[in-house]
Amino acid sequence: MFQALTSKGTFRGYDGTFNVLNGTRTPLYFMDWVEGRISRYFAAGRNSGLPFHAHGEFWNGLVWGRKRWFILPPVKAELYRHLDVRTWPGLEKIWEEAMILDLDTNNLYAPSEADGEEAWLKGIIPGLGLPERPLECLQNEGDVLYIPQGWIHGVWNYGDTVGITTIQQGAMVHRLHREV
Amino acid sequence: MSSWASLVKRMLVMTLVFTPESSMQHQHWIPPPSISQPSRCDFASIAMKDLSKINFDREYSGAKPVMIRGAASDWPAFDIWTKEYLFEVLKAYRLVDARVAVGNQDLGLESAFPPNRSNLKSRSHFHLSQMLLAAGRTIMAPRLVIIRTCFRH
Repeated sequence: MFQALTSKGTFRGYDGTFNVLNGTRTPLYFMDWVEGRISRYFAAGRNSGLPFHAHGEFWNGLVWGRKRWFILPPVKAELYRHLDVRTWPGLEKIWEEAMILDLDTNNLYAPSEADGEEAWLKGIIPGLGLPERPLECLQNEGDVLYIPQGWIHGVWNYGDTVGITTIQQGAMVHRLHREV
Repeated sequence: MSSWASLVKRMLVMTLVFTPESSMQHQHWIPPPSISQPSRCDFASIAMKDLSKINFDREYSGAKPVMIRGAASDWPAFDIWTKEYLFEVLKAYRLVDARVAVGNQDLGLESAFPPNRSNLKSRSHFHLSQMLLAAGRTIMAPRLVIIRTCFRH
């Protein structure tokens, strides 16, 4: 059996338990969030990105690294209910064009890290076909980002990033993509 | 590109994620590059000292996004989670319930709460360093490494 330890924020290792909450303090703005509806996420590798999606309101406190956020306000559900992030044209485009397969090593790579970012930025954002450009914001170490429920967001990670995302699932979570 | 080639690529990526640590060469933390405008923001960006809880509830909570500068700068993490600590110590930890999202595969953010069993079945175990290594070096594609705070009884 698995149990989500969302209230304790721990994961267990070979020889002990690492508690992400040991390193964090909930900012006063979010003290009233309901622990039973919270889930937490921890780390991401450098030069990684997450395409656009939406879920319950969340805050992200960044410890190491830098995150470049792209957000769009929630729109009427019918405008994007048909969209699944895995089928958005921008995603296929970058996957097929940005990657190089090294036949000697069977490694997949982009020509450079900068190219990987450029592929993501140029491949996904224009492919969205949305009427407006996403709002951008850079999050640095020590900054906390708050995004309300239903806002569409994507993120690019500069450097190995460690931070805590705390998501509070509301009663009416707006799902942009299907259950994985 | 044909669909089969695309499929092969994705399978390869998943294979790389599982590459044993010994084959990895990257053994240090990679910081973000320095940039000229690190505080650039298209929406509200407010220093923590200038944003009260009352104002947050009135202006932003449930309504608008806001970047609160420095609101995490007093976290113990900056002292106890040194980069060396996270890289050297946590790699000894075998994490459970870790999900790896590669490209447009398995974004992993919207798993059921509590996670449903079918999701968990397919999950494998990773080292944090492996995940960072795989995500940071081996695979230069949009992807995300997520460690959920769950464990097996």
